[in-house]
Amino acid sequence: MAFNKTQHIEELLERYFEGLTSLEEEKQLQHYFLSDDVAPHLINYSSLFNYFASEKEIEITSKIPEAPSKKPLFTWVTVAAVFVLFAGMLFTWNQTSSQQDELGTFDDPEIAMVETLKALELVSRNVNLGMESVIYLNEYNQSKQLIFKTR
Amino acid sequence: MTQKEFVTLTQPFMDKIFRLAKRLLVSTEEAKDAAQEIQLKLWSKKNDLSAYRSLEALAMTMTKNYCLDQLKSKRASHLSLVHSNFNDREAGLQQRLEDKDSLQWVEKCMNELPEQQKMILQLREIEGYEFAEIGEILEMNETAVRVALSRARKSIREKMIKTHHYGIQ
Repeated sequence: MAFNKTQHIEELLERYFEGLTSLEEEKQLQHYFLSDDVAPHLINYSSLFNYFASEKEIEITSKIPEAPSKKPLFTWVTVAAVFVLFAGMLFTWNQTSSQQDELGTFDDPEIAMVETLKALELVSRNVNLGMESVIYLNEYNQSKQLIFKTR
Repeated sequence: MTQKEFVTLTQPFMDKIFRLAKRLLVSTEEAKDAAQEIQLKLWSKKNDLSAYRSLEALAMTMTKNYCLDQLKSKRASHLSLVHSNFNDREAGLQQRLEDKDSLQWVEKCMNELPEQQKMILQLREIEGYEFAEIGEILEMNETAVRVALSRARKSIREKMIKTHHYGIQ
């Protein structure tokens, strides 16, 4: 049986080198030489078929990347983020505007009078503070008149 | 034709194109360039692709022509092939190294063949095409393919016999 097989392979090989084998027969040959059970006098051919088999596995590594599809999840996250942002802004705006409604009104006219005086006093004190720093300018004016005697 | 359709149409034989280009141009980078170039060419005529009987055969013929052109222009300008994939074998068991070594020998023998025989061997042994298909791709008749194939196989065998008997006889 083994002898017959070897003979068959030898025959195939002969026709193989004449270019007369079919693809099917070449597959048989390859299968035979890729197995561990190769007749010793034919072992040299096995590297040939091994090489062909190994070359079949080479693949181009850089396949064309598919066009990146926009993920709907990401879009929805964006929409949600914008919504949250607007809600936050609206909320803070509402709070500040409600604070502005309290103008510090008083129901009792006397207390209102006192508070108003306090406020006016504060203003006038600050105005006088400003005036004090301007007074020395007058000094400058006097000395100028002494020198130039314009009057 | 959309990009997706085009990719699904061409993807099945891109590896074959790459292998054929690599066989002829040796360098992996150049082979990748060639494959890309062919794909670009196919894309540019994507609207009349359906007119061709076999897209794969067309692509293989284009690859062949492109690579031969590349080789011709290289030789004309006296540039040698520059490639960085000389040796990327990983160290391993002794047996594995020996195996690889003998496979490399086959590769070397195959690289010494003329371009046409290289292509025929590539298409027949590695890609498993019928003679008629090879004839179509290489624009030859079937008998010529058969004869060239036989010649290529025999010359590889002779080179290998020399190798195996080296130092013994």
